[in-house]
Order: sequence, then C-alpha cells, then structure tokens
Amino acid sequence: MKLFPVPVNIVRSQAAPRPADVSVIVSLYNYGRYLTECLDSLAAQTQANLELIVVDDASADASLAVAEAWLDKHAEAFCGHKLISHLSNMGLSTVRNTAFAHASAPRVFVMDADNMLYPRAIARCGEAMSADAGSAGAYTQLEYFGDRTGLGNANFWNRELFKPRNYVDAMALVSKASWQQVGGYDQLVVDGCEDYDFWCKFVEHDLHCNFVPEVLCRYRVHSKSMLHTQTNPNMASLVLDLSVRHPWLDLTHFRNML
Amino acid sequence: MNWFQRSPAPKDAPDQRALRGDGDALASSAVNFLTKTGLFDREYYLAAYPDVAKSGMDPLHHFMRVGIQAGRSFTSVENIARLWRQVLTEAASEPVAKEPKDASGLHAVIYVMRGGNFFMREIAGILRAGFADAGVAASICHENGDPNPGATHHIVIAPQEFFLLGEGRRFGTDAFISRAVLISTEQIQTPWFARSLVFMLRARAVAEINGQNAEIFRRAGVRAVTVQPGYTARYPAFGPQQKVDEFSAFAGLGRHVRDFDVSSPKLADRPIDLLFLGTSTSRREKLLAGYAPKFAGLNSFIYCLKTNKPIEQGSNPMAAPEVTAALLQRSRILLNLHRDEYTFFEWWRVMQAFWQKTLVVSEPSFPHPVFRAGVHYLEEAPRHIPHLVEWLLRSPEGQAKAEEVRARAFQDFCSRATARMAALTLLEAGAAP
Repeated sequence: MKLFPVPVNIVRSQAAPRPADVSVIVSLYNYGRYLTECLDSLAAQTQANLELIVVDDASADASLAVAEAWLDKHAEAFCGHKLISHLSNMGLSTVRNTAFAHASAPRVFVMDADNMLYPRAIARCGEAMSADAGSAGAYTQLEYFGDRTGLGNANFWNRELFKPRNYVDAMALVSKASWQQVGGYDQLVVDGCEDYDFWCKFVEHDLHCNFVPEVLCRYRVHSKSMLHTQTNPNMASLVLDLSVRHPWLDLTHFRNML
Repeated sequence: MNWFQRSPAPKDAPDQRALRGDGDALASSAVNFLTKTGLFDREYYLAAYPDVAKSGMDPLHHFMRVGIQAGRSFTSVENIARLWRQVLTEAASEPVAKEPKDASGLHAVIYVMRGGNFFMREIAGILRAGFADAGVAASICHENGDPNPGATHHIVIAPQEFFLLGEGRRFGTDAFISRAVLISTEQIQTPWFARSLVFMLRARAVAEINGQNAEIFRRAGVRAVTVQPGYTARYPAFGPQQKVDEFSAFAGLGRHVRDFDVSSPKLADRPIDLLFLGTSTSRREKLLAGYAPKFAGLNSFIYCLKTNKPIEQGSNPMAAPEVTAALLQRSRILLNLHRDEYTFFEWWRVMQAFWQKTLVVSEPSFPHPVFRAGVHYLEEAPRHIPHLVEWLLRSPEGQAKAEEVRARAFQDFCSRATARMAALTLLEAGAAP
C-alpha cells in the first residue's frame, strides 16, 4: 500500500440503499471500444445486490465518456455504482487497489474492461465461496475469445501448480478481507504479472480459493499483446523480481525463453 | 480413456536397448508388423521429416532406428482411416469367454506401475475383482514388488511404461514377456504404440482395450484379444459415493450437489446437468469454447486438464476412481469428445458412465460389439451436441429418452460387459499354447 495518496476524481457515484453482496470492479485503460460489451455482460449477471466500481487509469481514448454514457442508461442494473478516474496513469495494480478500496461489499469480483462474463459467473463463484467456510475466493474456467479460441488454464487451487507459472487469472471473486490481508496488489519492478504475485501472496498467507469447473468467464485474446508478452523485454526483470518475492517459485524454464 | 492417456516425460530415460529389442530379429519383427498391417506410411514419413531422405536410409528403418526414439509420428490420418475402414467392414461379434475347467490352481498376477496414471491402477483393480468374480486367485504387483511365486498367468498393463521405466526394466526379458499377456492402451497412430511393439510381438498374447486394434494385430498374425474393464460388484470405489466432503474436488460445489441422494431414481433430479472429464487437446478446447455460450446456462462440471504429466493419485483432486464415480452419480449427462480427428472411442470413460447410470452423449464413434448408438448412448455431430443436450435436459420427450437409454446401458453393461468376462478372456489368452 502507498504512503502517498493516489489522486482520484470521483466522476459519479450512487451509494447502494442496502449493503451490496458483491462489488464488481472494472479496471479501464484505453479499452473504450470493448467497455460496452464488458458492462453489458455485468448488467446481465444473475447475482443480486451487485455494486459496480469502474476505475479509469487516465485513458487517452474515450473510455471515460463511454463509461459515463453507459451508466446514464444502465446504472439501475446495479444496486449502486462508482465511476472513478485516476488523475494520472498509475498502472494496473494501483487501479485494482483503488477499486477495492472503494468497494463496499465483502466480496469483490475483478474484471478488466476487455473481458466478459456469462450471466451465472459471479453468482456461481459466490456459491463456491459459501460452500467452503475457509474460502478466500473463487474462479471459473475461462473461455478464450478474440484472436484465439480455446479454454484457459484454470485448475484446482494447488501451491505446486503455481510454482512454474500462473494458472489462475485475475478474473475472480475474492473476499475484500483477503485482499486486505495480503496487502493488496503490488506494483512489481516493471508492469505485468501482478495477478501472479497476488495469488502467490495468497499461498504464503495460507489462503485458498475454490475452482468452479464451469466455463463462465470470457478472456479476450489479443494477438498483438501475446506477441508482446513473448518478446517482453522486461521478462528477465519480472522473473527475477517474482523469484525474490516468492523464493518457492521455480521459474527456471523462463530462462530458455529469454 | 484419453484423460489419462500418456506419461510422455518419464523421469528415467527409457533403456535404449530395451526399446530396440534384444536383437535384430525382434526389430525386424516390428518392421514386419508395421509393413504387413500397412500402418507405416513411407510417403508421409519422408515428407514430414526431410532429414530421412538426406540420410539415404530406408524410411522404415530410419523410423525404427531414429524416429521411434524421437517420438516421431509415422503415419497419416488418411492411412489410419483407410486401415480402420478395412477393419470395420468385418462385423464385430460379441465376445464369448470360456470358463476354465478347474480354477483352483490358477493365480493371475496383474503388473502395473505404482507411480503411473491412476487410470492404469483403476483397470488393475477392476481386473483383479473380475478374477475374483471368476473364482480365480489374483494379485497386483508393482514394478518394485515380487510376483506371487505360484503365478500361472502374468498380465502387464501398459507394457511400454512398465518395461521401460524404473524397476520394471528387470521384467523386460524374453523369458518373462513370452509368458505374459500385455494389455495395450495406446492408440495405434502414436509413436508410443510403435515403441510398445517390441514387447507386444514377443508376448504370449496382446489384449487390446480397443476392438479395432485387436483386429489389426490379428491380421498381422499376432495372438490378440479385446479386453475392456467391466462391471463387478467387488470394486467399492464405483459403488455409491454418498459422502463426498473429504474430496477436495467437491469443495466449491453447493450442499445440494454434495448431499444429493445418489440412490434417487430419477435422472432429472441429479444436480449436475453436464459432465466433461478429459485432458486438453486443441480440438476439445475449440469445441468446449464453442459450447460455452450454451453450457454457461447449465449446471456443468467441465474439467479439461492441460497436462503433460501422468495424473497421479494425490497430485490432483480428480485423480481417484471414487471422485469420478461420485461426479457421475450426480450428473445427468456425460459428454464424450474425441481428443483428435481419430474417432477412437474412449470406451472406459463411457462405460464408467453406464455403470453410474449417467446418460452418455458422444460424437460419432467406431462401432462396439455390445454398445450401440441410439440404444446405449446417444450420438450427435459436434455442432449439434448443444441442441441435443438442451432437448434431453429440458423437454419431457428428451427426458424420457434419456431415462430409457441410460437404463438400457446400465442393464447391458452389468450383464454383457463384466470384469469377470474380461478376466476369463485374459485367462484364455494367457494359457500356454
């Protein structure tokens, strides 16, 4: 967590008349063209008492205007909402932390603005958390769409499976208390892998999440961004940073890719 | 059974000598087999691997010396299709096994790798129960164990793993293999199948889990039978699994799923609409991703595992027969999707569903001597599977059809596909010639 305050502007907000059961948080950065699809899929959730928090990270495109226009029409699909904008670009970890901080519900579903959900996604994750008294969160299998069709890497929660790579996407329901307990999302030495780091901290705090073996979340694959990842010039720094933070990881195989 | 197909990354490197066989004679018998059956596709192999032509070697000999160890594929989809086409024209007849005249002196040892796929050990357990059902003593021996000294029959599951990895290598002698029945679980187009030949061709008999493969072996003059694990009352893991709280795979499922009364007679009462269990292939992933918009509205359980390691009990909450049974007992439909363009039927997975009175919906598959599409399971082209599923789950006609088909499948599975029959078939195949 930061010592300095993150300067934000609350663009609009409407408090929930009764406590929300789940806050869905959307991190938004230059994805105005995908935002409507994303928000439509959230409005179609079967989950009752859902609060919407959108945090724009000083997008250069029309993201903020798209969000405002959408809320003008559809805000009533949620029991409350907040549209927040960072005054300058702060990066994904900080966006998510801002959103978590503003979430009023005990459970938070983490979204990126280019992804989508099927209607039962949030409710089904909530059911999984309620079924297991010790649960810190829940995630479903992903459907890849966009530039590639397929399924994600989700599997049952297992420390061993985290060792070589991340297999649990950020798109998940987590308890706000767990987010607090692990100290939120960290900004790594460079951008990227914040979700991997986040789950590693869960493991280190003996927190576990539940896998929902249904395909309920949609992950948009951008061919450009995949290429970018493979040739990420920061990969070596990330591998080193993650290995220092979580010495139990075994990322040696990334060496071959560098 | 593809779920558990393979263990491609053994910790121990295979013994190269064992892989080539003990001598030239053996290597040449494998060459003969691949030629005689038409399995090896010279043009394909030459085209796929440019170094073969450069080497100046005969393609088949190149495969036997180099390709087999490099895990290269040796045949084209078209070639396999042609071969199966020929085999399929012969009507598959329902197996009949002879009773032994006197079972009292018999003892069957079933060899299976301890650290291997849990699926192999599941088959071992069911076969042992099948021998018990037939009144024949049987025991299971792992690679580091000692077989019962009174053994009259030796049955090895997944020989290409058992004889090549770790302690199992000590069993890979002519003296042992020539008295053994080897149960093959590999698909014939794979390099693992080719690897297994050096053992298969020395064995007293080959037991194929797939009837079409057994026929291909027989055509090449190999003594081969079809053996599929089947029903037995002596395998408690597949009995009613009412209490599931200790299974971590169930941790995220609601109480209505966990506490569901598995003796409930009505299929429509089961809490999971649709179950899929299998390892991931790009084909399966594409199909399941395409089904996602429809299936997202169902109560599904879709476990499509990306792995290149054997699924060992203890390492994965799904790797236990009790968990498979518990899921099937709570599911209305088991979906069967082939792993690739080869329409191998994953018979064991499908029969597990018959056993648990779960309706099977599958892509079109090869015929089976007992189980038929439309009677014991329902078949549909991949693009219409979601429509069929919808009809089966939602409409009264569909629900009635589902009840009828799953009841018939259960009835015939218990009477016509028994573990006892599998055991008798193995006894007969393993008898001294």
